[in-house]
This record gives sequence, structure tokens and C-alpha cells, in this order.
Amino acid sequence: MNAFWASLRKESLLLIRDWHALLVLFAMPSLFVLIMSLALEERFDDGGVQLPGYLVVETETESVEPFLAELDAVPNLALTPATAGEPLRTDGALYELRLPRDFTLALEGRRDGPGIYLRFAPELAQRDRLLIEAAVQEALARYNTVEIARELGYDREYAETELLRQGFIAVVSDGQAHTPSAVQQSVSAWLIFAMFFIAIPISTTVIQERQQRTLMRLRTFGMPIWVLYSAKLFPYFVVNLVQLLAMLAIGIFLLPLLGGQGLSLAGVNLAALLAIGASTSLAALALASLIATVARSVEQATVASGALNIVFAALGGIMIPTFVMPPVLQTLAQISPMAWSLNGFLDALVRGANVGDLAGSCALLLGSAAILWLASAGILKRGTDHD
Amino acid sequence: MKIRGEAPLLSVEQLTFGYRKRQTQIIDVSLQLNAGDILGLLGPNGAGKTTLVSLIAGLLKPLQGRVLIDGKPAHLGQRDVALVPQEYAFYPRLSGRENLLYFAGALGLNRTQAKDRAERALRDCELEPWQHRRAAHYSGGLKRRLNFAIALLQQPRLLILDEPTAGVDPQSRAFLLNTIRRLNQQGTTLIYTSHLLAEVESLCRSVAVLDSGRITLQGAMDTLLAEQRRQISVKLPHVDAPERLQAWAGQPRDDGWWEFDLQTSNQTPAQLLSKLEQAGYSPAQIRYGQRRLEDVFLAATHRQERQP
Repeated sequence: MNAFWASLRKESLLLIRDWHALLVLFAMPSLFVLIMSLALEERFDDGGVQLPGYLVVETETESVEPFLAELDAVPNLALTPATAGEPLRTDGALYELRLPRDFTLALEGRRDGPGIYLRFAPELAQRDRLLIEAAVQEALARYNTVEIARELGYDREYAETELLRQGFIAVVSDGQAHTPSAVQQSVSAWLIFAMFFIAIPISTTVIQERQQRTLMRLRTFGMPIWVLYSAKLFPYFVVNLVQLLAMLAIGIFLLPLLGGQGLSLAGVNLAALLAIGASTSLAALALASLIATVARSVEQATVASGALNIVFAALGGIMIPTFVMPPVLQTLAQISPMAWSLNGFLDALVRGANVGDLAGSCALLLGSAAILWLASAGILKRGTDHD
Repeated sequence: MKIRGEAPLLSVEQLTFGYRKRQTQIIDVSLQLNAGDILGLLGPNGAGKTTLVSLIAGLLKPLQGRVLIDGKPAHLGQRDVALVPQEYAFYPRLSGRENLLYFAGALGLNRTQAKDRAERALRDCELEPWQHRRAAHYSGGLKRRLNFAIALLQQPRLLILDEPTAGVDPQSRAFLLNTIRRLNQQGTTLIYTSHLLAEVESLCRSVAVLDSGRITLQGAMDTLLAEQRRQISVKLPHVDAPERLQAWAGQPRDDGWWEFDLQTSNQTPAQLLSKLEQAGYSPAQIRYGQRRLEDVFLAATHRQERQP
């Protein structure tokens, strides 16, 4: 037991003196949580997506006004008056909506050909283009319907209730919130990313100890290998739990101060959150152990840890939420431990899942941890037999 | 071969090591070492010195043979056998004191015992003034001392030192050698590997030369250095006519040394020295009746130079 406590103290001292590791483990994910939560807030907002664009009105007839009012009523379109030909960018105006001089003639069906011209920013995604087109189409349909109703002697209310059948489509839920908010997604995702980043400091310190023959020396001291490794991994388990608390604290306290939407833990089962956090940590520790065992140099370990982390993150919905991925990638995402973890965290934070509800995610993470540790132990044993 | 007449502390019995898959055998050694001895383990690069000391420390498993300490099979983690590796096997981000406390704890000692041992090691290696400084900021000499001090925590009966003075300044080297001598006087048995033959010659009482995994020469230092033939070595700073010296059965050695075979030239040392003086040579140093360890080593390894 003395050896374990001595090792625990040593590992803790080494860790708190490793500023590079602390930056990677705490500063980087904190920044990611802040930036991504604020940046994606609108994307995850229940109120829908705001699509900024230019409105170019070349026609001077007053009869265009009712149509402009319908455009204004579409919540997704955020239009700013402009002249034709302004540059379009994805970080500014995404599109230009131009009503030509003879727009009214086209609208009234007194001439053939298009009546509205849409020009998009070159790099704008196809999905966003379709969304903008649909929003304009909605404004046009609403205008036409109201006009037809008026010609038939009905008012706008009749047009909306009887012809447009407003409220005909209802979005239903099973009584619980399903779509995560930006802060729920970002806190969970970047926390998991940071937790798996412990592979870098763990694997590099193990390799340095091996190269410097410190591990060899400890074996001549009679220190059991399980004491050596458990004492090495335990402080990082604590670090992972501190990361969990830190990211939650950033979401709850810091984001609202910066004008973002805060994270709420109301209705969240804390035991479930702890269970998925601990399972994620064990999976990350096991991955780190395997990398430390397999890699022959610090460079190899750093590259392997970084690359695996990024691949798992890209696949697992950390960088891009899985629900916006195409079906093929959504299926592929299920091979990433980060996806299992993210599902668990979102279940806990968004759906208020309890420990039992998270059994599947936790089992996958713990199972993978067990397999990775068995593999590390096998390789380690083979290595010491042939040292 | 037993080096001294006492019961051996260490017995290495027909120890072989190699890689089964590659069917190569890189070590095949038998060796005995008595309590209180200092054995200089010499060998060219790649001779197997580090492999042999790793086998003795239990870090490697032999294919055949065994290592006995006091007649009992040695095992990994045997507390009274300590190994000082060539590398700085400690934690640069910890201070010297923290390193020693950690390694003492790794031995399973409680806090009080660990503190006592660490303080004693700090004292023995004169590291106290630097004990709170991080080891990363130590000079090469201080790092060697710390590396050595960690081994002392074990209070070993057998201390194996693998190139313990590599890359240190003369002051730290002298300090380490004196500490090793003091430990030996206190009863610690030592195995000392080094490329610095003068160091081994001054420190060790016995020598084993390892070449290609086999011991090619082994014995007490005094016996090995004793002259086998009538021979005199003379250091001559300036030699303008080497053919004349060769005619007197002289053979040039490195660093300006010439070795004269008195038996072949049928002359006494006095006669040779007189001839040299008459020829205008002024010997800077003369050695008679004893060879240098370097000569013994080169003869035992049969080669002057090695491929790296």
C-alpha cells in the first residue's frame, strides 16, 4: 500500500507540473465549449434557423408591398435591403433575393418566366439553399392564397385557417425534450473529446519512463506492475471527473455571462451523469494504456493519440452532431466510443435518463475498456518476457 | 571460475540468453563473485555487458542456467540487489528529494522509513544542497549522483553499476569513485561496467572481460596485470627514428608508449634505458613488471578496434 500511495503522490506531482498537459486537458475543451456553444446557439435554437440575405427590389409599383409583407412574415428569412450584385459570403449575407422591374406582371401572371431571382453565396450548402428556396416559396404561396381568398370575398383569417390550414401539421413529442440545445451538445461533446485527450500525457510519460529505464528500475525494486499502472491511471481518472465538473460549470455559470444560453441541470439525474462520466473515463484510460504499450516513441504516441482522438471525434458526433450526418455516417458513428459516450451524456442531460437507462452506453464503454486493457496486458507480458 | 577463495555471494551458472525465434544466443556465461569484491566487467560495445547485468538483476529471463545469490535462486525485485542503469532512471520534473522519497516508497517503506532512507542517500551522495531543486535542472554530475543515490535506498549487498560515470566532470567522477570505494569498505559487493579502463584498474579487485557474450578473461586484477614475460614499457614523447627502437625489440603502442621485449633483445632494463638515453631519448614514464589493463583488455578481445 505504501508503494501505491507513493506512486499516487508522484503521478499527481508530475501531472500538476505538466503545463502542456493541463492546457490540453482543461483550457482547450473550455474554449471549445464556449466557442461552439455560442456559435451553434442559433442552429440548435427551437425558433428555427435565421438565414440572412439581401433583398433587392427593382420594381417601383406599390402593389409589391403585400408580397414584401409575406416575405417579412417568414421567420427564417432575415432580409436586408440592398442593391443588386453585392458580394455574398457564408459569414454574411447568404443570398440575394431580387424582385425585377416587371415583378408585378410576373406575379399577376401577365407574363411568362421567373418573377423572383435567387443568387446564393458560392460555398453555401445545398441544404441551406433548399431551405431558402422553400421559405420564399412559402411567402409566395401565402401571398397567392390570401389574394385568391380576397377575390372570393374572404378575409385573411379565413385564408389562413381554411385554405392555408394553419395548424394542420403539428410537431409532436413524447413529452420530453429530444433535440439537444447548443450548450448541451457542446458541453457533452467537448468534454468527451477532452477526456480522451488524456491518452497523450499518459502514453508519453509511460514511454519516457520506459526509455529512461525508470520502469525497469521500479521492477528491480519489486514494485508489482499492477500497482505501478493503477497508481499511474488513478490521478487521470480524477482529472477526467474534474474535467466533467469544469465543463458543466462553464456551461452553467460562464456561458450565460457571455450572453449565451446556460446549461441547466434541472431534472438531470446526477448519478447517471457520474456513471456515464466514469465509464467514459475508463474507456479513455484503457485506450491510453494500449497506445502507451504499443507505441515505441513519444512521437508515435502523440501522433497516434491525436489522430485516433480526431477520427473518433469526427465519427462520433463530437465535431458534427450525428443527427445532421447522412445515414451512412450515422451508422459508422456507432463504432466510435465517443458516440456511445455522447449518446449517454445527451440521454442524461436532455432526456433526464437515470443510471438504468444508460446501462447500454455504459456497458459498451466498459466492455471496450476491458478489451483494450486485456490487449495491453497481453502485449506488455509478451514484451517483458522478451525484454 | 571463482575469483576469490570465499563462498560466493553471486554465482552465475552456465547462463545463456538469446532469442528463441531468431535462434541466436547472445550470452553464455559462468561467473562467481565473492562478498566484498569489486568486479570490473569489461567488454567492447555490443559484447553483452548490459544484457548480463540485466540477467543478474532478474530483468531478463535466461534460456538456460541460473543466477544464485547466497546459493539461492535470484529473482526480480530482490531488495538486496540494486542496479544503477546507464540512463538517468528518475523523474526530471521531481526534485532530488521527491525522487528519493518516491523510490523509497516504491520499496514499500512507510513514510518515516522512506524519509530516513532518502535523507541518508542525500547525505551519502552529498546532494543535500540541491535536494529541493528539480532533477531536470541538475548538472550531468548531479544527475549521476542522484541515479546512484536511488540505488542506495535499497541498502544493497550487491550493487551493479552500469557505466555510472559516463559523461560526468572529473570532480563528480572522483566523488562517485570514492563513494563506491567507501561502500565497498562497508561490505557492499560491486559489479562495475565501464569503458574507462583506468577507472576500472584503480577501483576493481577483479576483472572479467566479456566479448561476443562470452567471458574471454577473468581473474584478480593483480594477477592479470602482473607481467607474464620480461617486458618494459617506456613513454617516449618524440621518436624520430622508430626503426632503431624496433631493432631493440620495441613495439609502438598508443599515446607515445613503446613496449620492449627484454627476453628477445636479451638485455636488462638498465641496459635498454641506457641505450635509449645514449640515443637521445628521454623517457617521460617507465613501467616495468606490470601491464596496463588496456593491454590486457585488447589482448583478451583480440582486436584493436571495433566497428561501432
